[in-house]
Amino acid sequence: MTGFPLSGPEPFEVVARTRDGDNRAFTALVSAYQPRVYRWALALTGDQDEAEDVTQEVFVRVYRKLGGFRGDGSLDAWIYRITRRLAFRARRPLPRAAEMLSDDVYVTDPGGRVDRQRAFDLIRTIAATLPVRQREVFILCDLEGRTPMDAAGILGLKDVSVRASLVKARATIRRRILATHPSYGDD
Amino acid sequence: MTCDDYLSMLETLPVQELAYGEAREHAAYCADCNRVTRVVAARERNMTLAYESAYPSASAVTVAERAIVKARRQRIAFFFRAALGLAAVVVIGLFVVSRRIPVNGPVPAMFSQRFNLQCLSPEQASELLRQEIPDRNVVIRDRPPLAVIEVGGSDEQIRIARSIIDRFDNSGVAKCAARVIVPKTVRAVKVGG
Repeated sequence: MTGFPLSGPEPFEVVARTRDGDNRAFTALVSAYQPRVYRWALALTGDQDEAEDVTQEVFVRVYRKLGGFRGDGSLDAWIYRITRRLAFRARRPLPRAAEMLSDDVYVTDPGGRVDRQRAFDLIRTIAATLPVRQREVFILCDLEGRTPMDAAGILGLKDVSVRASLVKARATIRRRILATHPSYGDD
Repeated sequence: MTCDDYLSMLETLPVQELAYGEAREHAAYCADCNRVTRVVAARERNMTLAYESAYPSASAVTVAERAIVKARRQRIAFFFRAALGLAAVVVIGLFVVSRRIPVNGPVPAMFSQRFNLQCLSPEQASELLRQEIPDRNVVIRDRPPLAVIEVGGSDEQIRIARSIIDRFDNSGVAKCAARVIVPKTVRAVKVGG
């Protein structure tokens, strides 16, 4: 799941065209990254409105700073770092984790449509349950399917730190899953 | 493998990794662990689906257009701020420089002269001169008990001081034997005689 999410042009070609003032290339870049940036922002802020604002601001920054993007790292990592910086600047206190990971969040027909509100609730739940580092690692690895090594590259951490955070995050999430499962509690 | 071993693996490993080796064998005959594994797998699958279904409300085209407009405005605002900052630096610089250059031109040369008094006491002469020449730059030093007064000031001020001393300390006008009354103002002075 790493790499540029566009199926068409290569990322650096899009970046180069955007630098040259091609607004259509920039729109293509936004189309490719907007959902991902929004989810990152949502996970980091825990608030839908703020996530929308942060997403918008991220692309303003991307447009302004694209000339300074050297291309020696991945575009994913560069955009993630911008998102993270802006999200932490905008972040309000997160809701308490009291009612987090209730069954309601997970009672979803896998074959059916998962509605937006449940998605928001889930991400807010994760945001309120895990510390920042563990949350980032959990989202990048377990929800987006990246390897710990990729996540380490994006987060600017060592591979071993990412793995340690991932183990802690999984333990927290799974303990909560199991604690809220009625049949497990009966055993 | 015991149930505790299995559950501790389930706590931290990806569920897919439990589908191999001893863990798989344990789950095959332990109904409880099997069920728990299914619960975790189903909920994590749902989490992933829910996460992937979170979409922003604004369209990419709108976000891109707004980003371009806002970025351009910010660039213009940056240049304005830079220009304002530069102007402020220039104004402050000019202010500082102007404070260091004297505005009123060169300071007039200062002179000093000593007058020997014949009738007036140094205190009387000093008081008289201070009334007539109120300029603070004028330095008047009396040195009692010597009958001498020293005046420092511009050429013009020295000249005025000299004329006052000549006028009120002239033995022809004010006999030394007579009592000298120093007036409140010089114009009201009446020298006894």
